[in-house]
Amino acid sequence: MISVINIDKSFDSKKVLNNLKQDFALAEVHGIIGLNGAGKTTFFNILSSFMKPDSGEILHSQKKISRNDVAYLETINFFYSKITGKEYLEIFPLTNQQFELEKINNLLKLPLNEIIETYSTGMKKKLALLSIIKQDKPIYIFDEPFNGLDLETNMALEIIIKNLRTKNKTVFISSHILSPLISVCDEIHLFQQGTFIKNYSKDNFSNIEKELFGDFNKSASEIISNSI
Amino acid sequence: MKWILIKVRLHQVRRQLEEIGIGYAFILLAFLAALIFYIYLAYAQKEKSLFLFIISILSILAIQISRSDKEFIFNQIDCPVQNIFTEYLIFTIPITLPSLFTSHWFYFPLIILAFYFIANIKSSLKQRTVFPSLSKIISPHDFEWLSGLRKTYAGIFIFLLLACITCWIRILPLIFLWFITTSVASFYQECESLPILFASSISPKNLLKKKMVKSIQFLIMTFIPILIMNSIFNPEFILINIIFLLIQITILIFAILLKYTTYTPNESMKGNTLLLSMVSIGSLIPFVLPIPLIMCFRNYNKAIKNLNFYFND
Repeated sequence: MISVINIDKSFDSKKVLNNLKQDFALAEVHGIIGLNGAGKTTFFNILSSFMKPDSGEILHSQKKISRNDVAYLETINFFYSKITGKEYLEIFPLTNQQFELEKINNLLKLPLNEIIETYSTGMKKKLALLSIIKQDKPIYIFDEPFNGLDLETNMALEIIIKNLRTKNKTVFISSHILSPLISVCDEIHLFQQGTFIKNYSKDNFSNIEKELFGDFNKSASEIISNSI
Repeated sequence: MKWILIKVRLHQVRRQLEEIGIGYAFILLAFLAALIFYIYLAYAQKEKSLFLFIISILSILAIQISRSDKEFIFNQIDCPVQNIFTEYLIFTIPITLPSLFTSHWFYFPLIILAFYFIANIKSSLKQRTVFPSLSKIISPHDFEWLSGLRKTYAGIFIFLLLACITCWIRILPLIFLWFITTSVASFYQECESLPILFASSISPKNLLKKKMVKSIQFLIMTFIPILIMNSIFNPEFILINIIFLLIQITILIFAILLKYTTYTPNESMKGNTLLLSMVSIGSLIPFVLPIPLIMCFRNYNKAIKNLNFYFND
């Protein structure tokens, strides 16, 4: 179990995470949904130990979570200038013994011997993804992984996530598009104003859209048809 | 024609002046006045005026080719060429206008003409991968060196060549090696992302130790052959060469410590340039020689403290 216990986090005077509590089952894929600014990325930053909470803690199998437990694919990926894709990947330790760069790159088609400045946004995302999956960790976090990826890589990413689950890894994914989450997640958690307000199990996924967007769809279509 | 680009630039200048405060603004103004006077004196001399003319044009050409907002300006702003041309014209006034008051006044219209042609250049330098196999010699864990060498290889190669060619002369090769140290120190201005930082080491102390040891190794490997040759030709300079090497190592260690003292993930610490230059130049002045060493001791604990903030396991 991964237990999030009373996490608080503020930036200046703005409270971003508010007494956050939630238990996550291990070896499952957890989708995190919520509006922009709800605090999802801050939660991921704390979960990955990239950031310290003001108070509270996160336990992984009863022990305080460590940075070594987590591989984290950030929303925006930063790379060092003038290094090639291959050099970037070599910085990260190869702990996933099954990882074969050549084979996986046949699928992703990255020009690994070129400097990263020549890559498109989607290519940079793929490179960051490779750096994550070459590491064997019990927990994987993917923050908005589907942004900027082409259709084929989106499919490949879904297969990668399903593969991680078969290896008993715990996966967290956030996305603003529901369909890939519904396809890969075991549970989806609704995040609002710095806290989890509802959990949906696989059987209830069909209710998510209705509950979240039912009223919004009605009022939005009314506003849009009257104003555009 | 809308002078949108000029308006934006003037807003930026005003904001910068507000940020630095009235005191620094006056210092800047005084510096600018001194610069204009110096340029005026230089334009009065035949050789220096030609040099200034060429430098002005080449600098603006380099800016035009490398500026990242060019595509946006050409696609989104009315009369882009006129906007860019006017921008160059206004912001180079301190270095171009003084020529008008000298006997070399004819450079001024030539510069204006050149600026107009340069403002029409739409193409940019294409990003190329130079030395793709460099990581066979330098480990990707020393990414600062891989990146830095790809950026500054031309300058470093020239200085290294000059140092080799002049290795039998007193002092001169040391000056060329000093330029190499200054270039290498600039490798440590870009901050890596947190995933790279955490992949590089397990603790701040370990990280700093690894970076310092590696950079010292690289520096010694590059400098030692030239310094040995220089010492063979000038045996009375052995001690000076040893002291020189130690000073260069100190400058490099200071650059590493300064980077991690101000480390902010994914940022380029251009603000460190001034301090780094002062320490580099200070190493040439005998009575301020201990300063780099003192700065190293001072910055070590600061760097550890700053890195501890990120290594918050």
